Amino acid sequence: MTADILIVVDEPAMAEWLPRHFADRGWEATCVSTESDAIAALEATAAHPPKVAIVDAVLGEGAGYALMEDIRRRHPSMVVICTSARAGGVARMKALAAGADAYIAKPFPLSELDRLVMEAARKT
Amino acid sequence: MKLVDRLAGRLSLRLRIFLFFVLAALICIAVIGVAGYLAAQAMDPESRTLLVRAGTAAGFGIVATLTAVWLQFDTHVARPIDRLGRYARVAAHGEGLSETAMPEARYLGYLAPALGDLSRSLEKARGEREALVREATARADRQKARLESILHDLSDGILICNRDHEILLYNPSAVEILAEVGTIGLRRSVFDVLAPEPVRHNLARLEKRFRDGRHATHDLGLSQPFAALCADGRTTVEAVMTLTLVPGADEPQGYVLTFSDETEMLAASAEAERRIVALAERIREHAGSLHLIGEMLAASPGLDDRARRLTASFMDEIGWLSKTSDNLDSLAIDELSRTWPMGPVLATTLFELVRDRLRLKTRPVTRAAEQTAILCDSAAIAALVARLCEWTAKRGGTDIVLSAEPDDETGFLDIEWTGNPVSIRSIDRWLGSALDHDLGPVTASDVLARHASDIWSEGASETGRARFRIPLQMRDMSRLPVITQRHIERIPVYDFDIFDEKPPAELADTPLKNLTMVVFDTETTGLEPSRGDRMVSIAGVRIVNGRLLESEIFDEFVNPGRAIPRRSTEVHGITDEMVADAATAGEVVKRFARFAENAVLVAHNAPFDMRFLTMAGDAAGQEFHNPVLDTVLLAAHVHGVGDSLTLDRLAEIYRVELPDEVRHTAFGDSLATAKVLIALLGPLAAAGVTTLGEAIHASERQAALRRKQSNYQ
Repeated sequence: MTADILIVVDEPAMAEWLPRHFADRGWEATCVSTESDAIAALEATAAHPPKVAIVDAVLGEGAGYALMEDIRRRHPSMVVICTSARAGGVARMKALAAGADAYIAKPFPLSELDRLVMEAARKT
Repeated sequence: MKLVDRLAGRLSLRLRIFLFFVLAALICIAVIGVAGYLAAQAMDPESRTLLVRAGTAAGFGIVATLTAVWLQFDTHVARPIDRLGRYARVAAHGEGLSETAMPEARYLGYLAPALGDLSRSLEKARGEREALVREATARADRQKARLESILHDLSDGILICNRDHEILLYNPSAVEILAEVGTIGLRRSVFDVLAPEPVRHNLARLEKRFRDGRHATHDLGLSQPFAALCADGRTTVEAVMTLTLVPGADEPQGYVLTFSDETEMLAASAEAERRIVALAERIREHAGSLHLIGEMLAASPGLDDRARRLTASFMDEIGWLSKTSDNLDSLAIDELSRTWPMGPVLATTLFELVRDRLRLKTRPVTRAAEQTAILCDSAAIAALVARLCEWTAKRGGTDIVLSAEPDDETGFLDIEWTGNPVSIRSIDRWLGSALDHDLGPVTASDVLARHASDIWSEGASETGRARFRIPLQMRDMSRLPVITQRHIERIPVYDFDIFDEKPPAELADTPLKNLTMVVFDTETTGLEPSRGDRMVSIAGVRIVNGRLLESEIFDEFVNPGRAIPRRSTEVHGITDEMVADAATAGEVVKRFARFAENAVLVAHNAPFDMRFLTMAGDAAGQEFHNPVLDTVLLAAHVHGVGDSLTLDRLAEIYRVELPDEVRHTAFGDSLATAKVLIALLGPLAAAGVTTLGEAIHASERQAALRRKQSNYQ
């Protein structure tokens, strides 16, 4: 069975608890912590890709931006949500330019993330 | 008649007298011939034979007598007159001659003593005139000394340069601050010590401000702070450039740079800023995780009231943690703009500077409101934008447009083109390459980090256009209060003559007294480089505008890589031990070449020193293309080839005194040669030699004369 959500974060607590949160909500989530694992996961599920990708922009010195560009190229219809600990509007604009559909700055309320994921699920 | 006069004028006095005697002899012989012919008409053949013999004897007798008289006349009259003439010329134009330089002239009656008197009174008159001049200039000197002592005591470095970037003035702090970077010297290029790009960029910016008349109301007047990168690419000095104006001039004559060494401070502050930003990011990262944990905790079933209240406090604290990290971010940005020398530059000015430095056939269109100013290190941003435009063109982007768009929070500097956007991976690779050779090893990524900025590319499929966006702080200058004309008074005014001199197109036409010359001397293991003799020491001093710069000297031992013969050590006092730790000839010659860059090389008996210099240079791949002058040949032009022209003799004639300990060392001899050269400039001018071209021409004539003479010896 294909996961509904692909989570790409490298912060251990996030990586542990975010999938459980979505599991509590009844969504299947796969979590990886590097750009290459994310690409491998996308390739493995190429036929039935996840509906939503949650990508951390800061991921290994900013590799998250390039990953979002890759996802956008491979799956134009996948909803990409960018999370980032970087301050200011510049990070948000760069994320949107890189292909993110939404941007949430850390720390964020889970309700905000849930809303975005639900919107994405409805769209697809 | 005029032709005869002109012809006679070209001949020397001695030759003219000789020709006069030849003419007299010819006339005597002709008279005897004619008289003999007439007498012979009335004589029988035997008497005629006698008459011919008598006539021939008389002819020889007259020629012998005239030759003897001419020899005496030449030795005791013509030659002394010739020497007295040269002496008089040197005395009239030289800096004063010693009594021993006066030629002997026993048979010329009062002429020599009278000339001596004349020379003395001339010197006395000159002395009186000089005293007056000295008195008049003493006050100016005192003021100059005061200025110099102020410059000396300033802890900031000061460089005054002309528009060709040649250094006209510097203070000890400048030398000290830039000691690790390179050598500062009068008339040397400022780019020996500072990276060219930021200097050129800020000069262009200030000149534009001046041309547009904006300096009158600009809050910085004719000054501009900037981060001046040094030639070594590592050191950065925080500099202020100020244009210099002479009253009434239409354009600036040069600029003043004041600076202090801020490398460590800037590096430390950039590092501190980077750490603060990284820390703030880490805090937000963990706050994000804590927030998630807190929310999941709060949603856990079976929490009692106390646990619920604790969770709420926990969430509040996370809120505060997040705010603290935001404060840290603003602290880092404040720190950055406080320490890094950034200033507002008009977007229109910045774009004009970008267009000037572009290596593209088609210049980009620029679009910016007249009053939009960008807060940045303009040299770095201009270089970044120029390289981005070139990269865009290389990737096939056309119709490039530069624009500056102020926004509420920040502004965007955009580079638009017709074509596809660029991927983040490509941009990241490009950002890591060095930006501009003239900026040193600075990458585009460094420049963006310094401005707390970023770059990305985005495209609009409907128009086929794409753009790079660079967020930068922008201001609308029209909203700032207008500053009145008060700043015009702050323009520094200089009246240095040195600014008036424009280097002539041809070096040959440059007057000798305006040249930059390096007078040098070498000491060697012997006289024959072809037999393995090598340099053991080389020294040089600089003459700029006829002034010997005692503080700018080159004096180094050279390790010859062989033993120094005892006989040579007796001459120059240099022993094997003294050169044991010295650098090789190749290294020293390369340093000397930098010292003598753009200068005319001068030596006493230059062919000798040049042979050793070029041989060492050839081995090290260092060529010398400097024009060369020889003081032996220049002195010969003034004194005639007959006089002794050793350095000791010339030093005696021109009263050049040197301490005993430096005599016959490379440094001492360079100094003596330099002083003799300066003393020779007056007499040379009197003898019609004022420019470098004329000096070279006169030297060639003297060299040819010497070659001819040596053929007969």
